[in-house]
Amino acid sequence: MMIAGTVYGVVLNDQAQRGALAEAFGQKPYVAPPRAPVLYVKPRNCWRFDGAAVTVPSELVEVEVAATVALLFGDAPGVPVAAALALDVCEPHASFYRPAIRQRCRDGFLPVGDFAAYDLDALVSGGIVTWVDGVEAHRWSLARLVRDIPELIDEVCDFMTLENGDVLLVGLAGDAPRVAAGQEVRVEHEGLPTLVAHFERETGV
Amino acid sequence: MRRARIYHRGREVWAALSADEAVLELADGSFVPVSEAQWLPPVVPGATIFALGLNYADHSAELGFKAPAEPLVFLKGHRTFLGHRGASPRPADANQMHPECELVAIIGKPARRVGRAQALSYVSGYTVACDYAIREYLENYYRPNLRVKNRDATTPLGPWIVDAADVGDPQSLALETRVNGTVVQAGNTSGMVFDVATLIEYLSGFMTLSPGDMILTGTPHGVHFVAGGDEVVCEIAGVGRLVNFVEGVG
Repeated sequence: MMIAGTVYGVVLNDQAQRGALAEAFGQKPYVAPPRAPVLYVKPRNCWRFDGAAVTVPSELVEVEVAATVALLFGDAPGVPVAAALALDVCEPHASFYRPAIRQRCRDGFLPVGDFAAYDLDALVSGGIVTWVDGVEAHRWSLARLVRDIPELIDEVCDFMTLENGDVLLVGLAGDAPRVAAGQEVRVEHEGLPTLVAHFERETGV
Repeated sequence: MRRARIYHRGREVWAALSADEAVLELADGSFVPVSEAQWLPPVVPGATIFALGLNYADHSAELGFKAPAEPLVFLKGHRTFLGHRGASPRPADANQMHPECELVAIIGKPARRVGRAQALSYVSGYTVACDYAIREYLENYYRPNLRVKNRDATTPLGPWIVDAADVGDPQSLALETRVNGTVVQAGNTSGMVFDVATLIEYLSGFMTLSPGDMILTGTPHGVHFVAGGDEVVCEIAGVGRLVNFVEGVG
């Protein structure tokens, strides 16, 4: 099973993060809390498979690594057929006002594990655990999502259909850890194939 | 050379437009009259689609924004595209849906850290987009958000790709939008805040661009709200004339 369409992700879908930002959402530039799912695109230059290394751009001291679940859509609109672990990498940034293309869309900023069939209940209840150099650095579960998976798919497909190889990253933890070049990240979930990503220093710039 | 993507006898194919714009020639040497063509958006599967907000100073002023110091870039998926003479859905509550005529630059070879002086040699061709927006759905999170800019079938593209060599200077092209024959946008690509070469330098400065990637370069002044049944024509001199129909739904 392969990605054959567009990879979309959603931010601000973590209840803990939304709670922490509630006051900021009432102020400029936001003025009001988000209504629709806040979506972004991870273009093809970001995708890395089979444990390929991620290069940390030379001007960045560290990057944020948010472990999440990628849903792969099949022939039927809005119906996921497989899931994988994914590591959404970005340059740490505080503002959600403008699309964070420079921060989120660097080459290699989306390692994706193998896609596999899944059970929705087990997917949601299982822990998504991020290990950095063999030490547990972060743990969360999809039970923290503001919009659960069926609700999220429904609201997204209301204006853009997910199908035929499209992918949806279902949410990012607001407290995701950071890593630097030279570190190894491993993401585990009991129901999905483990994802490993090595972070390397950019050379030759 | 002008190349179109059409649906022909059960499959999608590329075809070359004749000089008189009467026929499309297929790879096997056969012809399809332009009047019978089923136009598809001329886009390569998997391509990254960049679009620009506030990239004409007169349009920024009209929306009450200062022109940005850094390009305001957002991304699109492919299901938002629609071919020439297609129908774009207008939801019943979208009273502020407006067309945006845009020059589209297509990347021809891998680009990473390309300087502005060389940047245009990385462009293989140009086409026209009508980048509809629905202002009711704007929110201040990753603005312009995808509910505004990435709706199914709301980015008409085409009718064809013109080779870059046949376009010449991309910064001196007149562009115009007409709704039911009335001009609602009239500008020139000379009015871009960040020109095509600068955008390629900027984007390739932090990511790799690949052949087929597209940059929708933003739109000039002129916000006109459309209604179901409207015919919208976006035309860029020397590139193409893209026709779209607004279809009221819901």
